[in-house]
Amino acid sequence: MLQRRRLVAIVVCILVFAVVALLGGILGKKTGKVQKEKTDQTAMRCAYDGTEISPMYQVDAYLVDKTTVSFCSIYCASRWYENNKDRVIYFTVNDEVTGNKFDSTLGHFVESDLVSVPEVNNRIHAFAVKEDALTHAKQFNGRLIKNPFGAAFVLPKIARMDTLTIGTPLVPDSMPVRLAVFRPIFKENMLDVKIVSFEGDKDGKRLLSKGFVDGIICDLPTGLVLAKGSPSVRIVKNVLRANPYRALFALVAGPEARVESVADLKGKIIAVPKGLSFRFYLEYYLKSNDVPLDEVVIRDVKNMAEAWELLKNGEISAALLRTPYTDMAIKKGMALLADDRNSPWMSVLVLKESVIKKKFKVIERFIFGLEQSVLALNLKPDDFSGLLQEQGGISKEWRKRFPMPIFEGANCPSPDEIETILNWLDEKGFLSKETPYEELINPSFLPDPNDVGLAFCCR
Amino acid sequence: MMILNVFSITEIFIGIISFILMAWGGSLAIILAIRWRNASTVEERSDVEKKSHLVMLVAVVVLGIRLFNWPLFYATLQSFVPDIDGAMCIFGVTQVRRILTGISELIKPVSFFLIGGWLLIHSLDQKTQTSSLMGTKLFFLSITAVVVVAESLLDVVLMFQIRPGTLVSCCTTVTDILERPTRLVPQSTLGPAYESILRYGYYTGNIILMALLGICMRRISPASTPRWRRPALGLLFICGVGNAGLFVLTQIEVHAPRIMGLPFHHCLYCLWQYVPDTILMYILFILGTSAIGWTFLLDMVGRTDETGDALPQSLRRLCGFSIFCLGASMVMNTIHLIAA
Repeated sequence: MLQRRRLVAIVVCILVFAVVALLGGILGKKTGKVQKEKTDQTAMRCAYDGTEISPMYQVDAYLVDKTTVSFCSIYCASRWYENNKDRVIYFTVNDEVTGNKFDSTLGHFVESDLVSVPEVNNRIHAFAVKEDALTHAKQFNGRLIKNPFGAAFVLPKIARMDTLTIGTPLVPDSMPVRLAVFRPIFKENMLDVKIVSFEGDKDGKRLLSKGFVDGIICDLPTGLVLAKGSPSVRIVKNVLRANPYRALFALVAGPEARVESVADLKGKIIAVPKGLSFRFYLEYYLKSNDVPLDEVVIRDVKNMAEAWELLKNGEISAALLRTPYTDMAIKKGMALLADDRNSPWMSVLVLKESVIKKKFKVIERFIFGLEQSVLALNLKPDDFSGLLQEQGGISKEWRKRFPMPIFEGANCPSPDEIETILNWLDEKGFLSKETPYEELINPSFLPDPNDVGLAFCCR
Repeated sequence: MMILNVFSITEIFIGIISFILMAWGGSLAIILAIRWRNASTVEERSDVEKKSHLVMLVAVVVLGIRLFNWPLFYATLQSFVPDIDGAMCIFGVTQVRRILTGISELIKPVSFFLIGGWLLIHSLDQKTQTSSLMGTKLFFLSITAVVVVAESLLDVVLMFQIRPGTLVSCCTTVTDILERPTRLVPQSTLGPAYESILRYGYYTGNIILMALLGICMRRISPASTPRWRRPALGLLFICGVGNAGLFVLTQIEVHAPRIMGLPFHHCLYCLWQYVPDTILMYILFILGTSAIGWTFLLDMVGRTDETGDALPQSLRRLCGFSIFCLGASMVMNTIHLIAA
């Protein structure tokens, strides 16, 4: 009887221990271990060693199964990567100057005496800008090192990416494409997108015709002409549109020009940057204010920067400017004589017809990624102001004060919106106004806005 | 400046008290042990016995408390983690005074084993009519007292030496590197499949040990004292120590990373932190393994004419206790692995 009692007591005790272990295992999973998402109560923990993650040094890996894992440092992430090379599509690291998260392949890395995460003695620091990396190296006895995730990031076999090359002018319009590369939203959509910067319509056209790029960002008049050019392109998406609060193109009077309206420009010098779009806007503004073209003196300048300098220095009475210079002119107290705030025009993305035919599915993903980028920019403009300052083509003195534009979501120019421009192009002999809409614009890639959510790397 | 909290104050208090009392008790125990040995008459022995009452009482209380000092020591170190820059677990705290903490950590299991052993000898002696184990008990107490005094002193010094705000690197930089000894040694001896060998080895080792303990338990009887008993218990103790080594290695290399859900992290301190009930699993394993050693120790020093009945009973109970603890620890470990 006693033996039996003892046996029962032993079995009960072991069962109690088993239940404790089970509860401990389940609760441990919920609280102590790696957290996928940060909640108010629990801090995110490193997927390698469970260290609490400081957002400044966080490294994220996006995996082939469309999940992400986070690490406390580059040290832990690179150690983890050694055993998981077949799972990672990209790593994002944080720029230690701005705190911006970006694609690790674009980073500059420094190994220095400064320990960022003491728990793991991490001395590797990531920077988006090389100058910042060099400054850090100088300050903390460091040296530039190769990308800790490998100089040439090798993708898993099942995650081969399609490539596209896009030409972007150095204006804020290029932000959606630049952010999608920087973050990297395109990589999440299995795209390896390269950016080629250019200046002016001529340069853009050259890139297209030489086959250096698959598409470019340009203004609507230029896009329409390019559509029927060689190589033939299609407008596939709107990028940046003027709105009642912010002009895209404006005719700006100089600070000491004593010009109060477009009518006052008669006989005065107007600086106009080279390019079809500038020409269209100039003629449109003059015509709508009943000022004949031959009554003003047009001074062709190489680019907007030159026009801006001439205007600032009072060498001309007015200049036709485009954002970011229009915004700068307003901030400087210059008068906008005419602008497109109530006009339906915008900048657009054009893609080669041959590329559209060959890579239809790729373009679909590209436009989807671009929409995700637009969503991120419009939702969290402050998060990406650093990128705008660095890559938005804004002169140094204005960078800090330049607000992020609101980019246009999934949309293409409508027939009504292009009518005025088509008439002008027809009049000038660039393009027949009878050109069918579908030969100019291809809206078939636009996703349903309800399907577009923030990319993992932007959450 | 030191880190003051409820744990460190308790640790210092216990350390100082046990240092003083055990220094006194230990030195008195050695004198009494010599007098016991030299005593030739019943009166003389009775006199020593009377004088040893207070020492025994103090020793039982102090050593009983010291038995719980081992987990308290780690609880104290854990409580220091937020105050040490760079520490994410106890490992980081141990890096503040690496050598001192290392010695302290090594002395703890020895002290625990000796204290447990002495308390068992004392309890066995209580069952005798003429305190036939008095001499052994006093002598063993003096040895235990030396270790406890050293341990207490180390604890107190360490508490004063760990300063807040010290910058350290934690476990990842040591336990997770490819050149870690816990990986290199088994890999070089067992080959690349060392992890699965360790996994099976853990279960095989534990089950064999429990089976051997079961056989021993059934064979030990008050009727006779076979000659094989002592060597068999000695061999079991060696097996127990070997099994403990295998347990630690398997935990570090295979089980802990899986239980934590961090497949590349091999720190046991982190395991206790993230999955606290594993501490119970470790305590059970330590008790189970120590019980094997205590069985051997008791058989070594406890054989007298008067302990003929009580000793085999104590040995059987210890074997049973060891089987229970090892079994419970294994069950907990298995449940954790399944839940992971």
